Amino acid sequence: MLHLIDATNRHLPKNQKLLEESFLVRHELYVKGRGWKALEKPDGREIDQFDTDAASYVFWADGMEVVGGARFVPTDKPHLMSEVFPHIVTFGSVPRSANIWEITRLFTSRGGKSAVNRRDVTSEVFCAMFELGLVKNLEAITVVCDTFFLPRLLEAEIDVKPLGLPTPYDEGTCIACRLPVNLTQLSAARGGKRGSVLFHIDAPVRNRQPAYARSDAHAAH
Amino acid sequence: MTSAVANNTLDTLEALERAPSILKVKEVFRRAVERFGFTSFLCSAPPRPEEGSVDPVLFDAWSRDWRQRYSKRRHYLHDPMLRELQRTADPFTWDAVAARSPHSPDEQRVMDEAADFGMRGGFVVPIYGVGGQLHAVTMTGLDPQTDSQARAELHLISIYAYARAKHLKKRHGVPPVTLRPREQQVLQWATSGKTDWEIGQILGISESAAHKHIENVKRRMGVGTRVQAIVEAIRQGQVYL
Repeated sequence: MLHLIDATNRHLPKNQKLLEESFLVRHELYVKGRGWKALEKPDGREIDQFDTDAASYVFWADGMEVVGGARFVPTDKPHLMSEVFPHIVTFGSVPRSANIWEITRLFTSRGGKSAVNRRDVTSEVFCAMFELGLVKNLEAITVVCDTFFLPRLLEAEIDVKPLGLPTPYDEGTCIACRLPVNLTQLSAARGGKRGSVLFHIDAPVRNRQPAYARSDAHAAH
Repeated sequence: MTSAVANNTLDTLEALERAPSILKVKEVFRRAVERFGFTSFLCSAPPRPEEGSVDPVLFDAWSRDWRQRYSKRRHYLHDPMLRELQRTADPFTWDAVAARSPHSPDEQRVMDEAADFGMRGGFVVPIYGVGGQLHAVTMTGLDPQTDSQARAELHLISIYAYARAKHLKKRHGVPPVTLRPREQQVLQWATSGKTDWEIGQILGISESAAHKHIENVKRRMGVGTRVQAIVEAIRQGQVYL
């Protein structure tokens, strides 16, 4: 099940737990799995300067086991592209706007107890990204990613525009991209295979309510 | 990077995204790579030695003579560039591969013959699509530009050209291929799940003959697997479930 955590609800005990879980999963995947030593912290929680109250998180959790997720930071705040990778944005300048959010730490866990299909998790988090974008009235989502994702996105009919040329790094090349947010994008992400995952998007705008609200209201009793 | 370069690349990407036909994709791609001194190009799934020279092509401006020579002499068995595709997922130049460790006489022959056909400099962009399917965009010329900036631009352009061509091919489907009587028989049995050996037994032909018929159908349809050929044939009403 998908959860959205942001400044308005991160203080809730359940969400604090999920967030903490996610830092441990990120450590497993990035520090131990991919060997990104630069992200290593002594307490085994992979957490960086962008994990602030400005960040929103989408987590796919099986009970309280975090099996997938992503982090979003509004680009008018310091974010990965502006602080660490501005040099790979060569077509114009780094997008900076409250209506453009950057996605980082898009992950799906390996191993663990959950038997949930990880490919479904990845697809749903990706759909959640566009649903979130629509609900928050975002213009676009930006990302720094491995260049090899580009053909896969394009083949899935996702509209993605490069913000610079592929740039070599240790493990290949990476590229800064911009994904417009609109219903067509959500539709492409769904691939005709799934419905709403985070928000009931098919409803007209004024009826849009968070899909999770009911479960949180329930928990508050 | 100058904004003129950026505009050039962005214009090319835009033209590719809008291209209404594979022919147009080819035209836009050609204009883009010619700026760097590339005169021939090919976007296809790499031939797999065990399957012979089946290579579904998405688009190409490739010498027919060279393709025939390559196929006839089975250069796909020794082509160092094909080997490189198995070694790395990143774009590479022919020079980089040629400069690496000494090559066997067979490998050297492939490279020398390509040079005879005016293909001295080359650049290859491996592209892994949905489902992990591999295509490679290869471009060659007499003396092309392959500095890091050029490579980055060509990498990006190749990806968008591949994606548009793939999209157009999917949308317009596989053009009907009329199966020859024996091909139809062999494929019909394959549709029922018979192996090449079983088909050979049923039709009184050798196992390799049955195999060859299916390979021919795959090549003419421009598909990469037996299953795709069966699906296409069913779609075209040439075999039945």
